[in-house]
Amino acid sequence: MIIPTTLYLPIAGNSLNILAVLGLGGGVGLLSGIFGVGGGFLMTPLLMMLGVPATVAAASDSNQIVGASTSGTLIHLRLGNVDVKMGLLLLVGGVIGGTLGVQLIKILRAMGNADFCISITYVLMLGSVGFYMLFESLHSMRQARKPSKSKTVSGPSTYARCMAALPWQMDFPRSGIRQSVLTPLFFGGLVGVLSAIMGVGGGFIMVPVMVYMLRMPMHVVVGTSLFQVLFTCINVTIMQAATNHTVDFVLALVLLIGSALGAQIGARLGRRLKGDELKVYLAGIVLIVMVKMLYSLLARPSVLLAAIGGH
Amino acid sequence: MRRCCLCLVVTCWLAATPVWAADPAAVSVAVSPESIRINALYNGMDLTVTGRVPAGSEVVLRLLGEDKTFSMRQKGKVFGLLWMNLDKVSFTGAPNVFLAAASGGAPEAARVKFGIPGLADRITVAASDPDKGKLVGEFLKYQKMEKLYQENAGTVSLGPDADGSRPFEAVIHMPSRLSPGAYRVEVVAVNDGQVVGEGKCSLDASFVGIPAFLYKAAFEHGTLYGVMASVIAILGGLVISQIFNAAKGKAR
Repeated sequence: MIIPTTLYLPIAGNSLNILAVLGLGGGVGLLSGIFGVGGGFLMTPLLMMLGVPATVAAASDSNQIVGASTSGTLIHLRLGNVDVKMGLLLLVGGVIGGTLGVQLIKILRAMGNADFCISITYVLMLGSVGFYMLFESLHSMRQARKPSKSKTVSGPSTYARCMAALPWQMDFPRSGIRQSVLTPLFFGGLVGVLSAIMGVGGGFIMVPVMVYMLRMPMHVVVGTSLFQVLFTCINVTIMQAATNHTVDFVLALVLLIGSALGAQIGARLGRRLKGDELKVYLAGIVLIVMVKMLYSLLARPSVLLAAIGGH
Repeated sequence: MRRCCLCLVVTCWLAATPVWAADPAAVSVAVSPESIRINALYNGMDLTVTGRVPAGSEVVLRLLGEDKTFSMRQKGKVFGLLWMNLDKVSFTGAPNVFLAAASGGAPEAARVKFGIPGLADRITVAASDPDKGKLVGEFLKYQKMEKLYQENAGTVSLGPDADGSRPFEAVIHMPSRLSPGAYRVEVVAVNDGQVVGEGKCSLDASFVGIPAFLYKAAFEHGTLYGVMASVIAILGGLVISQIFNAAKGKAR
């Protein structure tokens, strides 16, 4: 008896090879588990390569991230890597920022230059985040190798003094830091605006924000990011299903099986890597995506037309 | 079981150029199956088209989906450097699927006229760009890249002449990317560069089983569908997490 390996997906309007979808989910889930990013910036273009329309790929990916980040968050919770208090504050900021971002995009679309702003924001964000993470983590890896005498004792930086001067300071024992309530609300809001403009979960911006702006330890950052991505993607899934009817549940479920397994393996692999190594690898992935985007902006497309939403 | 329908069509739909103006005879066309049922395991299928054309003629055949309006964006350069999606463009009168095939001896002119290039005449463009011809060319290229428009989408074989006609049989490969709706097969018989016969037949495609259920749920109960999709995804994540934990516990 031959076991069928293809399945027709009615919302995507195409039949896909299940093994290819499982493999894709597994690969992206692995990255999600290691780095705490949703992987939407990788999964959506790869699904499009398999023949899924762009809008269905993005919405169904959000649906599968719900499952993958549930699995990832659970394992990080057990490992003590989720700062729930910080995650919730970032989430509140993210929801406010996301709502503002959606309005901003509406204004930009009315002005006719939304696509330009989205592309430029992508390249600038990916480029600056990627290069900063890469150089900072390489620098700290070099410092770690040097003998302890080279380390100089210095006072808190201007940024740290400013943060400490803000009102409503609060302890975040899981992260081992003390921050004003305003800080995660502000940065959550900022990432919310950016992710609404770019149409992604925002994990790849949130992770550097937590590391460099909130000064959280890398392993807690990964777990907390997944926790936050979970709620963001539930919101996106329901909104997309209600308004655009672009969530292909079967596609999401097959991706989920692959990505949840990948995320479990990834979370364990991530524990074996040092924080700086994690940052270097994530910076590498972010920079590769940035170069790909930049290339697509500069190279002449093979067809001078693009589909507009819906399918 | 093969289900066939036999349709005889006598109307002519060609533009009246002298070369193509000869009164075309009716061509018998039958398609099997006449209804495509898209179930969970649908992965494209072969459609058999049979019939008879006037003796000595070659066959050009095409399968067309319903006409629709495609709203797209034209790509262009911003600041002479960056390629971006710019103005909105809409194409009306283009079929959502177009598959063409021809017998080995069919003349090139007929293949072009009844193939993808011939579609250009029936597509109307609404765009700020005055070069409509270029836009239609890009549209046809886009549809070909999406594999929704295909030349040589199947094989057409001809039988021996008998009683003033000759039988033909074509096998068209229907794409896996197929939407429910009405489709039609048009057959043109060509002899010495002239159209000597025409016929067409219709078929339909519909969702059945799981695809029908999911499509209805997604489009008629969108919010509930989204909530259920999220809940099931969370449960899926929990189950996989538990399985991994149990496996890890056993390993210890």
